[in-house]
Amino acid sequence: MRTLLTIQKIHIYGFGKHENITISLQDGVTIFYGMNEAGKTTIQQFILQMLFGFPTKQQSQRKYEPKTSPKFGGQLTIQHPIYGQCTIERVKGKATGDVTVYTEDGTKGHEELLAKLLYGYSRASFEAIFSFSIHELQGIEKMSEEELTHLLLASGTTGIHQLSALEKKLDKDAGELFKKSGKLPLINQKIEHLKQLEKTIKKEQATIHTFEAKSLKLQHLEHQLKDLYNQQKTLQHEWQQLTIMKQALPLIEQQDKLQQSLNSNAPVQFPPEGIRRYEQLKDRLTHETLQLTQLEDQYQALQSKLHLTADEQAIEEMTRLMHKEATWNQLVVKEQNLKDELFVLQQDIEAQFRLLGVQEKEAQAILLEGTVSLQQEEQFQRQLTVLSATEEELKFYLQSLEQIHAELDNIAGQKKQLQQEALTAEEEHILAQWPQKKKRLEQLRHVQLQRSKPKQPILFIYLVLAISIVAVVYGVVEKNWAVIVIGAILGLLFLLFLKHAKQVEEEPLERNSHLLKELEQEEHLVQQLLAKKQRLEDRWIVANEQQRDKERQYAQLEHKIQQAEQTSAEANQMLENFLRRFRLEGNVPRTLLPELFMRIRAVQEMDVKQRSTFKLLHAIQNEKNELYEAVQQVLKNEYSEQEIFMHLRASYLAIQQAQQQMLQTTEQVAHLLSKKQEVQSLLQNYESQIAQLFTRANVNSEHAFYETFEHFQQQQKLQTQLQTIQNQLASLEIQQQERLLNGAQLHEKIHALEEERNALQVTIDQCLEERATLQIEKEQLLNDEKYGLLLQQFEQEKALLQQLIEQWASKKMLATAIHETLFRLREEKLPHVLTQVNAIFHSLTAGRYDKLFIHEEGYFEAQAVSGLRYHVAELSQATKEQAYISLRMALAKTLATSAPFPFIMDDPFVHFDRNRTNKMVQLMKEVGYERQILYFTCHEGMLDLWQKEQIVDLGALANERGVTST
Amino acid sequence: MSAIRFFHMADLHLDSPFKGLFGLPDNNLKKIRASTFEAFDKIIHRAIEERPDFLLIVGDIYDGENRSLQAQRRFQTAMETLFEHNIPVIVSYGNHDHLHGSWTRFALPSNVYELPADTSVVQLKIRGQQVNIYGFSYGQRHVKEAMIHHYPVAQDQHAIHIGMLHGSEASDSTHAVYAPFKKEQLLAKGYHYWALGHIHKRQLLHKEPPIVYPGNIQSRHRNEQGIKGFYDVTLSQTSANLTFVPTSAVVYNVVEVDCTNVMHANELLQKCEEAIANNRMEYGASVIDLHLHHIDDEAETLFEHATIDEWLETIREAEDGIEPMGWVQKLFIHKSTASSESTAITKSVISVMDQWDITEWKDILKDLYQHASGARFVEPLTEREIEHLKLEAQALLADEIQRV
Repeated sequence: MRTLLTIQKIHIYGFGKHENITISLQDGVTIFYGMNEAGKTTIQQFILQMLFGFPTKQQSQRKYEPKTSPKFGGQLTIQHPIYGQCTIERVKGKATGDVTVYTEDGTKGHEELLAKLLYGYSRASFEAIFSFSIHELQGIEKMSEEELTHLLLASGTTGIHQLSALEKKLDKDAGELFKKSGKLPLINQKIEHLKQLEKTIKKEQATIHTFEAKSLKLQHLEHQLKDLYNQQKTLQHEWQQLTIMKQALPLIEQQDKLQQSLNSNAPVQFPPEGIRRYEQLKDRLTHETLQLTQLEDQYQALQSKLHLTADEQAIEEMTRLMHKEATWNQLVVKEQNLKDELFVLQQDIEAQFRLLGVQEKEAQAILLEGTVSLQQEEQFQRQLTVLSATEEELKFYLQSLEQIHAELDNIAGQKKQLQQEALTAEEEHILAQWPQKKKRLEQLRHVQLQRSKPKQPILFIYLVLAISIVAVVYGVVEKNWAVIVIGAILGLLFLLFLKHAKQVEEEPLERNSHLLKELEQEEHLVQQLLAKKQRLEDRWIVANEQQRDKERQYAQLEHKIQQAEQTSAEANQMLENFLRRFRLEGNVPRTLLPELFMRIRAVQEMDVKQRSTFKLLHAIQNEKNELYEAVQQVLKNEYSEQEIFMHLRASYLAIQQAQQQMLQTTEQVAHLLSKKQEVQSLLQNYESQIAQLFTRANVNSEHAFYETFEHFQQQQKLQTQLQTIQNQLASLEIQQQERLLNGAQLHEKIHALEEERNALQVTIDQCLEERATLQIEKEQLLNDEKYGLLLQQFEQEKALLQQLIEQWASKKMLATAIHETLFRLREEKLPHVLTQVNAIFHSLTAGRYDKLFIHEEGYFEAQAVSGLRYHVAELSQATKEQAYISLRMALAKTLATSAPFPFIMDDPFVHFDRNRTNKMVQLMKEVGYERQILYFTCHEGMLDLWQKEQIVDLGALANERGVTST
Repeated sequence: MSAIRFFHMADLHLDSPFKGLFGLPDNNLKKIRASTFEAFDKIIHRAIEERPDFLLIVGDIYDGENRSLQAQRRFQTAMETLFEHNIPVIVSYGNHDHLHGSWTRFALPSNVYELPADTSVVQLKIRGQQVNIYGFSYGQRHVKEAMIHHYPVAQDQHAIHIGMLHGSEASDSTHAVYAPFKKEQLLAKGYHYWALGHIHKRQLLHKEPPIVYPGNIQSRHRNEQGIKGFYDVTLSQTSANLTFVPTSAVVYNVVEVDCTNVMHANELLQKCEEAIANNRMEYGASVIDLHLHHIDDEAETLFEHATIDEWLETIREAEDGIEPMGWVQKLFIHKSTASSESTAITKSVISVMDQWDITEWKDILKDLYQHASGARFVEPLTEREIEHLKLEAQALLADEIQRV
């Protein structure tokens, strides 16, 4: 198996100016020749882009998307040391193009497989070693040591560039994150910040630790405050005492003064309430004296009144008469009543007489004398009854007569009506004809009765028929011929009978029955008429009989009436005779007759009464006159009968009054006398009391008494004042030792106390304030989330720091690792590469130069055969290029197995002279055994140095599109 | 024999800061700050509602010297609430809140039994059932001694025995070793339940009897992922029933997004938003590591013009203001095709890194790690960190080499 990676075939679908071109390549060296614009660079780019992808938008490389063809991309057929022959196809697709790799064993892959085919090389790494042009060669003197190293170290690795760039970047980034002695990098800042935070936390912690101290202090303060309050209380008390004392001072002074004035005057005796009592007594004394004089006057006046006296006898007489006043009045009334009564009786009598029609006095007297016994009265009554009975009877007979007359008229009416109701002529005719008709009817009825009879045998006949049938049937059944025969005969008989019956009923019955019906109706009518006629005749007979009866009764009644009239006349005559005996003429009305006797008796009674009443009147008048005279005597004056008792009453009252007054006056006099004595004793009493008062006050005159009182009062007042002050002082409860202080001392002491108190208050205030502050602080501490927050913040910052550290650490690590990797490369691989370089350089320069060094300061030096060393910049252009090529070739050699890629050179030897070019070609040929070389040139001269089959003429290719050069 | 019921929790770390976060807006920061309190309040509410017989708090109520007064007051208030509801609480202090600390101590109510530095027993009588609880509090910050030797072997046949131990297994080298123990040692004590604390990851070391790390009640670090909480335990002499009760107010979570066939920016954003929304539905407020998987060549172009940080910013902006919060802390891109540029030279760079040993690493980074004032704030360089850094550097190399 070959160890080289060679490109065997290039197939361009469309790329830049090329379109649908296939180029087959040799192993070894292939020269692409073409003039400018022939598309050499395009081919070169095609190969690179097929392997590493089309440039993306961000990349600066040129894009070769064809302007004319829709196709973009192509194929590369390569021989791979591991995968064998593979085809890489890349066409337009995503940014870098869609790549497909077809391997020898038929598997298919994409980017990842391609990456493996390319040993993980990126385009940059590839270009660094395997693809170069004159530009790269010319830049060798500008390379820094690192670049140089990297270039040299590219043995077996890609991405050295990137790595080295990354290392730089990482170093920078890490530096931004942290610097050992920096201040600005993030981690340094963070650490500083954390330190600050920690400090704050410590401070906060310290604050928290003060909690207990604060609690203790608070307790202590509480105690202290309590003590202070107690102290304050005592001070306050003391101060109060002193203030009171201060208030009391003037009182004490006054007390002293009062005491002095009291002591200077001798004490004065004075009876209690002496003045009031004295004045009261004096008042009463004057009053009583006055009263005494008044009483005296009254007594004198009454004494004179007592001399008038009254007549006792007259009073007694008057009293007796006064008692008779009722009797007097009764008499007067009685007299009047009797007079009235008499007058009424007289009137009544006269009225009765007028009623009886007795006018004359004579007749009257007779009547008054007449007997009015019961016998007489009965006789009179009897005659009266007979008369009225007779009249009654007569009246009755007349009435009956009238009634019978009416009844007769009635009967006559009835008879007339009956005549009207008699039968009509037509009816009479019917009745007359009836007997013939009746006969005919009888006949017809008879006929009918006969005809209903023959119907009877029919039943029997049918029975015969039934029997006959039964017999026949029986016979047939029983086979009794006799029976059959009998049955047959019976049947025949039956038939015969039927025939006969029909003949009988031929007669006409129709007409008869009709006639019968008519006659029957008529019969009914005639019967009714007959009944009616009978009835009328009966009633006529009855009416006639009644008429005859009534006419007989009438005649009887007329006779009776005549008899009655006669009896009545007789009775009347007898009555008139009776009345004449009492001189009562016929003018007494009939109705009064029954009462006549009663009235006469009444008149007689009234007469008797009148006479007795008259006697009574006389007696009363006598009694009255006696009484009148007695009164007149007493009054000694003429008064009328009516007024006399009134006057008597008036004079009696007057006398009585006078007597009463006398009695009163006598009593008054006695009363006055006793009163006078009382007053006199009172007066004595008062006077002795006054005297007593005077002796008590040690004086003997009123004036002295008053003076003494004045004294006493003053003394009293002083004492009261003193007492008040003493009381006040007592209520102030002043202690003894303080009482001894004077004003100034007191003032001083109060001042001192006040100062002490103020000082104490200040202390208390301070304590309170301190306590409040502490309490607030304590509460704040308890509620303070600051510490927790700080801790959280600290943790947060720490976490952040940790992350930063992680970033830094990973960056730092990576940078170090890269650095170390690169270092190792340099240390281990560089010497090996340099040996190769020297060999190549020596041969290329035809032995003029021996070696290439890397100077300590990071640039190349070339050592000439002479031993002299030259800075690479001091070398000629061609030599520089030779040096560069030497480097590349040497690198490639060391990478023979790890990167067996072809060289792609773009006219790098333009500066070489013929000699050097030959050397170069020589080298290429040597290298060509180990590695494929694709050499792009526009120098015809080069063509002579190679065999024809190694040359691809791009100009010709352009002309014969699609045809390979071989 | 009646069963008893208690809540087992540990590592409250009240008011301790959330580590490894930065760049949060204020409202989210507040939420995260309040998360330990919120989680703790959940427990207290639950206790008041469910009325367990007692609560076990196995160490690390506060976060060492950093404890805030507020945290202590909150704890005190909570204990007083429990006192009002007559629920006893047995507290053992751990390495973070050891007894030696000079901090202010808030007086706790009488329902709280604070275990002393010497192993001792708290005896409770619950509905006639004797319960013995053994444990100790850290006397000082570091207790390297195997405290397990001081625990007595269970004697009383009728009692329920519970061990409280704040420490780590002797074999566990990932955490600083405190009060180390071996599982066999615990089992040998014949207790019915081992209530452990100190390890923030929830673990069931043994089933019968249960040896339990409840984990912390609220994650505070991106290494503490998933839902946190406590155990609601019903325990009798013969059986144990454990129910895990979540309390996390903020969950630290990994969210994966499959970006197959994503071509446009809005598609990518939509996918991310959907994934975050799903996470929000399931876990509530979260801090998220967002992993974008299957980013193919097409999608990769999305990251050619905008850096990952810019994308992260865009996603955060989209999530800003949505409640509960879904804070994307970090964005990871996983490409479907391996970097094609892993060329020979990059390989050799990586192999150079691979060849470095830890001293060489330290030497390389010494600038920072030897930095006088900064060193204190820097996490110590561990193998893991180096491994991580190596990966970072590789990614950086692959990324950067293309851009140069």
